[in-house]
Amino acid sequence: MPNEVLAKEKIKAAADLCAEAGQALDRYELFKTTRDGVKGKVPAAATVIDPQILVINNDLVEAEKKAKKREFEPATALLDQIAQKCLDAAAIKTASDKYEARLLLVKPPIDGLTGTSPRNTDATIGTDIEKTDEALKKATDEAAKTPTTLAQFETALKNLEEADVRCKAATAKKTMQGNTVPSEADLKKIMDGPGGAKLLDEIVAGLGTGANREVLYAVMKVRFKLEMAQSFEPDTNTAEPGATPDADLSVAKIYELMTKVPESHVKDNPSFRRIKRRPGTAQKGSYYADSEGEVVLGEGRPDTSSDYRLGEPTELDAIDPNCVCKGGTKPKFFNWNTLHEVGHAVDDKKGFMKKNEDNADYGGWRSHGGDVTVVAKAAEGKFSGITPDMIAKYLSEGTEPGLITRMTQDWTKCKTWCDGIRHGQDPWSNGAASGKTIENGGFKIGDRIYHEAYANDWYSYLASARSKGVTGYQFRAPGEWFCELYAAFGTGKMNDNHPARVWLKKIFKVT
Amino acid sequence: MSRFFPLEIKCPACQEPIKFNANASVNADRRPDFRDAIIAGSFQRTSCPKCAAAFRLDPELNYLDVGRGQWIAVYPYAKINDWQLLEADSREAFDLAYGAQASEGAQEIGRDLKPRLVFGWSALREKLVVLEKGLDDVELELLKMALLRGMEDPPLKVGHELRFVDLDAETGELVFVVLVSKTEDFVEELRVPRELYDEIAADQEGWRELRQELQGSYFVDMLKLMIATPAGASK
Repeated sequence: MPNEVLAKEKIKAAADLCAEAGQALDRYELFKTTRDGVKGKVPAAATVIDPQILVINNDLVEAEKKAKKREFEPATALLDQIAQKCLDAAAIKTASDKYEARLLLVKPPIDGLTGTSPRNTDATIGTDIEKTDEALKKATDEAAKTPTTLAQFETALKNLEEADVRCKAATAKKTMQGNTVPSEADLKKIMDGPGGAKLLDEIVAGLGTGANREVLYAVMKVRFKLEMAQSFEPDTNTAEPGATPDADLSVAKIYELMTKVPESHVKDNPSFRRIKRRPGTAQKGSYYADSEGEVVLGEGRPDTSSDYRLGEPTELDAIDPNCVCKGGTKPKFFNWNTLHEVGHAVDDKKGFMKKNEDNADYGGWRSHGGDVTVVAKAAEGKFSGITPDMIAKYLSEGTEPGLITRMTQDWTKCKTWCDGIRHGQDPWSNGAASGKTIENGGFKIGDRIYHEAYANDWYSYLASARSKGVTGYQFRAPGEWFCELYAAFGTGKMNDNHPARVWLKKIFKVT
Repeated sequence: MSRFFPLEIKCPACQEPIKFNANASVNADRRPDFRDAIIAGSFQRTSCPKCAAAFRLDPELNYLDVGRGQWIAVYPYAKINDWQLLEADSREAFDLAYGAQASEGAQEIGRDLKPRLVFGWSALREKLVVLEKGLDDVELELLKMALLRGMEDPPLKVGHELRFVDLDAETGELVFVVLVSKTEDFVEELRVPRELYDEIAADQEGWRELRQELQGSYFVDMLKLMIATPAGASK
């Protein structure tokens, strides 16, 4: 009796097996299709990717084995990996091809940089060749590494580009050192290459300060976008012999300066777009004083480096031998004046001359301000028929007395004195008049001398102080008296026996 | 007080000899009117009594303003190429007047003074105005360098100079003028946003090298870094 139950079970099992086999067949077919697709992506054999292709082929065999063992999922995953490996290998091949093609172009000019051997001993560009060769060697060494990677060819290509730029720079340098202007295109190639700006800077630095201006103009145009050729050459058409020279600007130094300006404050800085330029004199603002006319050189004026004249006989009468300034090198005009001005600051700070007003040890200075009556009164009785009022009126208003007085009295002599002691006449420098009495046509009234130091500002001092003077200017006003002695002490020109040394030593705090 | 010396000069137009009181020193504390005249551009300016041509005597003086802390050695523009030599001379003068050998009072004053060296009236005026406007002259020179480096068609021409003249109270802009150095003739005006000055002043690292080249020097002027070094002159 047939066992129907068992038969049914077996039929079902056979059917399941058939279904399973069918599914396996479908999955294998799918694997095959995928595998064939991947196989189509395997790059053609090439030395540079031989190891990668070997791995790919081994992986394909492994995938096949897995598929045959119905390990379809791992097999398919492996195919995905193989596909990626194919892409990677192809990329390496492309990069390698690109590198080789560039090498074919870049190497010959590098080889041709010099005929000197060893190459780095080339007199003009030996160092540059050395650096170029180094970059080239880096490139070839990198490209020769195994197993190959995409990154290595990228690095090698970068090194190759550096070698190329260095080669161009070395060529440009050779050209520039021969005072030939390199082409703008060549310079741009260097500038646009890796480290181009730095290379150009190195070349220019190597040219030194005596570099050819035209060459530098060409480089600056590319490096800084600075057009200098038109604006920088001295205008020889208007230059006259003996004319004031312009500042002797050095293009090489300007180049150096420009390299030091940080890019952050020039490139794409928004503030630059807001700079306003207004050319032409019509735009001149109120802040700018109209120049109106030339600036002239003071030919013949005491040069700052020339000597300052001390104890001039025309300015100072009979100087006490103990007060004659020391001989030897005379002080420089500029130094003396600098000391003179600081003397004022020191005097103001200490109130020195104010404290010592009317003190015989300090010139016996008296300030009369605008009060000319004091001066007029001092001259009372010195000129026959002339009253202090007449003198005061003349000194303050310039009004002379009536005709009869002028003709019959001592007015002419008085007027000469009045005119001689005005500040415009520099009476302090008039040695001859300062040594004579007013009666004899001089300035001395008793033991004093009166004069106008500044407009409407009158002073008097002891006439005897002049014998201890160092300059005539010293006797203009108390401050000047102090400052000239201060300068004489400061420059070391004061006589060792000068009485002013006593108090000047205290001021200078020297023993 | 501020010293003058009688000088006979020739009118640049008609060559007539003219008696002129040439200034040798300005003491701005005692004569603030001289400082005002320098800023106004009228100091040491005159006109020929014969042909009426106006002209100005090139400066050669020492300028002192204790109140504002300024000491300036001023030379004619014509001597700019000798700046290294004159900077050494200026240092000597300053050291003599305010250094270790100077009186105690002078040393005290000197500690608050900023010594400078300039060439020409416009350069002197610039130093006075920069301080008045609360700016720093070193930073200002760096700004000028940025302008030359960054501007298209920068105002750089031989015989010209770029001088700061004012700070616009309304816009805050820094006003510069380009001048012909020899004549002070106006060429063009530049107005620069204050932000650029502030950015540069705040950037200690980027400008370090150029800043150092100016600091410690008396001749704080961009031109210093552009003038050819005379043979034998030390930097």
